[in-house]
Amino acid sequence: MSAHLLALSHISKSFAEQHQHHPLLRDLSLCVNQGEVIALIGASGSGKSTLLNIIAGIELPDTGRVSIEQTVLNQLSETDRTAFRRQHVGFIFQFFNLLPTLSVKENILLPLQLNQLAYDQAFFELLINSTQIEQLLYRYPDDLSGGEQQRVALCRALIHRPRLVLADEPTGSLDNETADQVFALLLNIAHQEQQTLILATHNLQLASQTDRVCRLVSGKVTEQSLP
Amino acid sequence: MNRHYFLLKAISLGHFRQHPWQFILMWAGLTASVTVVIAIYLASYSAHQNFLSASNLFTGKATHQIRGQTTIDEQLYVELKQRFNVSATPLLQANVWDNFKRQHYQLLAADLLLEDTLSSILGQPLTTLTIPLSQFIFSNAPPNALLLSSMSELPTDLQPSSQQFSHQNKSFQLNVLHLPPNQRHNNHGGWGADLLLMDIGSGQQVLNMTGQLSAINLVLTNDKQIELIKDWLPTSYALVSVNAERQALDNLANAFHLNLHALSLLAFIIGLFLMFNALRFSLQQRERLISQLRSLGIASKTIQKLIMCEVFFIASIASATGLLLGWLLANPMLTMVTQSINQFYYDLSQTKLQYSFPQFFVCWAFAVLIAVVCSSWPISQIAKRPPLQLVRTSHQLAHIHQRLLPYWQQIAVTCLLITLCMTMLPTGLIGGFIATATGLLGFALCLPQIVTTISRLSLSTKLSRQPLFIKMLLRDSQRQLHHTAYALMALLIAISASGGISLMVSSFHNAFQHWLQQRVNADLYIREAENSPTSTLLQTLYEQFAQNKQVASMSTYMSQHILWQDEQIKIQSGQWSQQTQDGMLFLKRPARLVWHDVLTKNHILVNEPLARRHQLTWGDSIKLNWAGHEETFTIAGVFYDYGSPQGQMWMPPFDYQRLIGDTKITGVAIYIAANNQADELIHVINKQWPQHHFVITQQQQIIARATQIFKQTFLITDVLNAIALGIALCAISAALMATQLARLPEMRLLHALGCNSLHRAGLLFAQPIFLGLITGVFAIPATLLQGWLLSEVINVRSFGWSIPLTPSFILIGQVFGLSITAAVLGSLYPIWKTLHASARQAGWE
Repeated sequence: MSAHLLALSHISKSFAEQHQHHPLLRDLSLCVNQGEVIALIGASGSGKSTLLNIIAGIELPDTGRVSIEQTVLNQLSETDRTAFRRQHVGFIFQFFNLLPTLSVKENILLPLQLNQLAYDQAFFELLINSTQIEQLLYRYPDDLSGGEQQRVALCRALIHRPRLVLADEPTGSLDNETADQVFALLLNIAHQEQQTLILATHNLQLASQTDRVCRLVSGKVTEQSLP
Repeated sequence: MNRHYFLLKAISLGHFRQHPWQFILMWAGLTASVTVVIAIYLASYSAHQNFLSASNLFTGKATHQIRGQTTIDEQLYVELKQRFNVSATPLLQANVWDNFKRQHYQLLAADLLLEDTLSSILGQPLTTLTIPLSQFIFSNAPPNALLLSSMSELPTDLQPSSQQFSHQNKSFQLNVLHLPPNQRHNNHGGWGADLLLMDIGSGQQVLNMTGQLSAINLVLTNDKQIELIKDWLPTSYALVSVNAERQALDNLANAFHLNLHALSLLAFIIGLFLMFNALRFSLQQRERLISQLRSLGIASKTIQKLIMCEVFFIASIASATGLLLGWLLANPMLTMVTQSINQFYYDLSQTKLQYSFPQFFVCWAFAVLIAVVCSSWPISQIAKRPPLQLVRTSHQLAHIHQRLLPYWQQIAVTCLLITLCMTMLPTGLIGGFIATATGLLGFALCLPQIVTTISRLSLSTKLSRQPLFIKMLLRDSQRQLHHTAYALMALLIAISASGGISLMVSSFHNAFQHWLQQRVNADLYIREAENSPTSTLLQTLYEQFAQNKQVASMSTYMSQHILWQDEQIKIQSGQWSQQTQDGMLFLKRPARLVWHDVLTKNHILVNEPLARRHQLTWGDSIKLNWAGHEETFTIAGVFYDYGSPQGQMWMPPFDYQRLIGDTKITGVAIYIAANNQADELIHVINKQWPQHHFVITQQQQIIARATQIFKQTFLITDVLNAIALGIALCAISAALMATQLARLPEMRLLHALGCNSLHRAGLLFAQPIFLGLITGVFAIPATLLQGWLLSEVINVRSFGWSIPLTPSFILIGQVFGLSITAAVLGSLYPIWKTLHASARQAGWE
């Protein structure tokens, strides 16, 4: 039996706007196993990004509990949550978000520096070869195309071998061909490294390639099987 | 109309609602600039007007004036009228104190029936006024006076009131009639202070000056007659040309006013930079918005006009606020300016602020115009760009900026060459200011290249194997230069200018103290009191104490003012003891040789300010003229004189007596013999002569008073310096803060990647500190250059004082500290912001 890596129980989150509370997530519960790949789908504004932020400890739920293995994330302080995220979570954003002052190589190695981890040359080469960015290592983000930047962001999210990888519409701003390439790489490496991957996307074709598809509707998760 | 409103809302109002601090910075920058310039302009203009008004008041329509060393015997006036039959007006002037209102008045007593002087005050002779004021003033009642008040809120009824005044500890009662405003017809810009006008006979009576006059005003147009009167006048009186004297005094103060304006201009430029930088930053932030509007078909001219309207609106409000604050600040500034003028040039008792509303309007319009003109370039640049190219990445901006650097270097070298030329060539005070400005600009333009070079060198050395954060810091410093370069240059200009001024003032203070200790080296200085019964008391004292065992040596002083090359010069003479001679410091020539020459016939000493103004040096010959008698003198030496920029000449007594024909001692300096106390000698003098006959001052008192005056004199400089520096610190901190705030998305990303708050705060803190550090180090040579230019060029050309530069570690530390302080201030808010910001928006573009 696979152990749960992530357990979300009774998560609620609402936003206040002009003195009114708008519930976004309502009593949401979800369990994700080690090595599982999940696609989160839902309409814009359904709370996919918020859910990913809550899982990463970037945001706190109003109620409920977020556990990653033995750690209850929402009981940690901001500093501890940041440290936990640094060590155990890899995050890929829709808009690449590379640091412009660091070269490609330095951007990729940033999580290792932050975690003071040793540089694993073999794994680094595996990542850059898989993503085909070995020629770009000494270039800067501003010189790269969107697809190239997203591949670098992918390497950065995986370099420190996090147990949980969160990707918020990682192919949202890429053309179909590049999107397929990037997604294939992500799946491939996640499988190789036995990483848990939670992916928020609008692309049903990509979602269909994951182990499980969860739809966010009215603040709750319902499992959905895609054709 | 609606379309424009929506566009305005989209471009300006919406933006400033989201970023109110940008509006505040633009407003604050221009407000601060206008405040300082207006305050200085009003203070300087008022001082000048007060001077003109005071001179007009005393001289009226007179072309010449007869003056004596103290007062004039009234008999001289009678003889003058009898002999030459010229248009002449006797005058008596004094400052009196209202015991009840506790206020100073100028008392002017004249022969009211002659009305030449009065016409300049009232606009018409007293006898032609609609009310019979002459009846009042000439009535047999107790002494009467008209109060011509500069304050309109004084009672305007014509009921006389009895008021008590005092003058030199003597109280007297006057029957005063307040002249209502509609009875005044002032055609000379008004008298500045409240004026008491009375008949000369009554004036002499109440001031206890029977038979004495302060001056005689003359209207002389015939050159021959002028020469005849000069020849006729006894040697203790002088006939001076009112216009020449006024012009000479006015010219002397011009340099002082120019210095003030230059300082205020520095504050103005820095304040303008704050506005310009905030606008530039806000335009960069709006590139995407403008791009969208351009894509939607809005013409670049429309966008340009709308942003211009925004600038005009902000500039209008800021200028109006600046005018108001400047007007409020002008009063204390005027007090300080008057204080300095009183110390340096002439007595100015009036401190009335002079202004008119058209002046305010012109200032307001000028400030708005400058703001609009300064803003037009960045606005036109952004509005003219084609829609697709409009949004530039930081990388593109950095690239554009890097390409500009070689041009900046060329301009920097040109500026420094101009500085060199302006310093070496006789380009006057304006040339001196150009040299200081181009020197500052030259250094400032080098700074971005220095930051780039240091960052590159650090990255290329082994040091580059440091953590990624250091690399980020170094690369970001280069990359963000398109944002920070202007702020850093302004920081360098501000702290170098401020440091240079402080260096000049502190060097001047050191030089002044040294000069004072040398010059004021006698133990006691004695002069006759104004109410001394005879004029030969000092001579008697000198003769009696010459043989006193308590006295080691004595020096005597005599002085007279003469007009030389349209400048009033003080001629000083006396018997100078060896100690007095030792106390004189000379330029370029050993004292021994100077004194050897001075003590031979027809040699004189001139003070440095006079020598600098007229390019005189030792060995030069000059001609002096007194009462038609002309003699040629050779300059034996030029002595340092930090006491006043006015001209002074020293000559031995035999030459002085031959030229001036006067032997009256005006002061005595006593050097007390060893093992004797000053207090004991004072006691002996007071025992022999009544205390009120002499004014005795001890060395320490003079030094303390002179030091106090020095500090008061430089108060205006210090205040302006502090204001300019305050504006600069705000401006630069704001500019650095804006740059760091622009990095917040980057910080959110780092936060999302697990970078802790300490690291993020460190990054935001380290970059401004790194830039502040480089600026601070580079500001040190710039400060030394500024200090040197101010001391050796500006001071020499404006006042005639050469000051040895004495830099101190404290001052250099201050310059460095200021740079770091600006950097720290600039990083505080972004750090606070990043520590309190959520990483939630990290994934947003």
